[in-house]
Amino acid sequence: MHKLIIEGLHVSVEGMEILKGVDLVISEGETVALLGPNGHGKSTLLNVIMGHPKYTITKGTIKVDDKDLTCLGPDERSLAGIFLAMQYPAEVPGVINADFFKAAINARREKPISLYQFYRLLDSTSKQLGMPLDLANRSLNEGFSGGEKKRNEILQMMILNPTFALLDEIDSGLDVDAIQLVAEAIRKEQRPDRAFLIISHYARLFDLVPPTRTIVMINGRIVLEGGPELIQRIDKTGYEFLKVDYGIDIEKETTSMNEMSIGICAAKETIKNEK
Amino acid sequence: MKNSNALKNIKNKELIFSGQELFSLTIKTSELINIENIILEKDVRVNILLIDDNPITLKIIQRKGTHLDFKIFNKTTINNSDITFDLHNESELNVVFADFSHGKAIEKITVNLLGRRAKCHWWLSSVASDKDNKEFKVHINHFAPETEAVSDSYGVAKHASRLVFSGTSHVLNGAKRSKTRQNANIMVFSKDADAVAKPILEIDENDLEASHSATLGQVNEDHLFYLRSRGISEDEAKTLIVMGYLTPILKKIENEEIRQEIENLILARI
Repeated sequence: MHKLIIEGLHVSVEGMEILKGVDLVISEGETVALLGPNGHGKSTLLNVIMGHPKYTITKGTIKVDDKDLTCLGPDERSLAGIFLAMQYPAEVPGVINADFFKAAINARREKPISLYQFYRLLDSTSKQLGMPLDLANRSLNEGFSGGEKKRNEILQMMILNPTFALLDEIDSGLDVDAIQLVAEAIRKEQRPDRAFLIISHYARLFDLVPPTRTIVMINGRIVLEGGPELIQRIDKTGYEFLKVDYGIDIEKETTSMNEMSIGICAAKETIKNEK
Repeated sequence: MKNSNALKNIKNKELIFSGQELFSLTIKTSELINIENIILEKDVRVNILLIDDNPITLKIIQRKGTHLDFKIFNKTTINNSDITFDLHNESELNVVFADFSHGKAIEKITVNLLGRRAKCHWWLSSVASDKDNKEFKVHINHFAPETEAVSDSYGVAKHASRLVFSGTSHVLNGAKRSKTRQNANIMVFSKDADAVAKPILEIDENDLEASHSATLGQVNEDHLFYLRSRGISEDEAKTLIVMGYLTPILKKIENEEIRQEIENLILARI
């Protein structure tokens, strides 16, 4: 039974501490819903598990079974069975989807996949998600709508077969039909030997993909655990009840960075996703 | 299509193309020693591929309605070169420069858009490595109304090399409704590499469209993370990204052999 074990994790970015001691164990077969107000560390946790270089782990460990991932790069963590469907998938100009998928697939194989097998795999998987037929020849995520980018994340998950699938707001930017499609794909991908850790603000997704466990993150810590009823409660009344019923302070502990606005020529890449 | 037989018709150091057909030829830079001017007579269409690295000093005159595809492929040594293009009414110029040379030199290209509705498009892909010190100066002058110019330069600077993209786009007074755009990008691979982009706009006219942009920096961290998070190693991810950066130039080269050579060179140099 494979487990993703996070112990005493403290994480900082640009000198500011975001995760303040996270303890979490996720076992195969679980579908864990991760809730909490914006800016309290949910997305950070998922990105840190995947190994984004902008985050510094100041204390604690991330392990898959006995294997300590804390000092390993994102590629090694991917090969250890972790997959992150990103909140804002990168548009990488000039890198063709087909080359990208092939490289990702071949990283896990002894012998490179045959062209025929590859196109069959890509074809059938992309049809399931209603992705455009010329997908293979386009640049990675370039010219994709928000919804297409999210579906491209699920496409990659289906091709790469992870043990631990982390989904960061996979439903944001999707219309009702697309959420249905994505939820069905996730359900088909649920297996006894796979675990999901899902961030979403919308109860709808969790209606379609019922979690086995719900956790709530406030101020960089997991403050509450429960069953699916937690989702309904938060959906109806927000997070206030945490203060009233459990004495948990939901005020943000530190002031977040202001959004920057850079108006002069260039600066194209730097403005995105400042939180 | 006529080919390099055209080179035998050189008089007074001038190579002249005229006629209704499309001329397509490969010229070695060594063959240009006896040529000072290349002239395209009215309405003629010419494709030239320039190979074998030697210094070039050349003036190309495009008369009315002409169309020139000028491709330069540098693969061994860079030299100081000075090429000027004079474009008359309705003429079009596409320059595609694939540079994988080593050494220290300045390549100077000047495009004079002399006639109404003359257009040019410049595309450069350049790799600098080791101790290379290369500068590409691209000057585009809009003398006449409704002229258009787009300049796209993409470079990679590795090791302790220095790569400079400079150039002035000058729109003179009277060149109404002209459009000019400059785009310079250099990806830097190491702390010892030096990348400089100096795109300058000199505008002496009110009725026009002009823009410029420059991107300098390391491989985008988010792009690198995205590829690596799918299991792709850091080296392979960088290769994919840089290939994606430089290979759009391949689509602009019809010659299959040269295209393959360039692709191999890009792979070898990354």
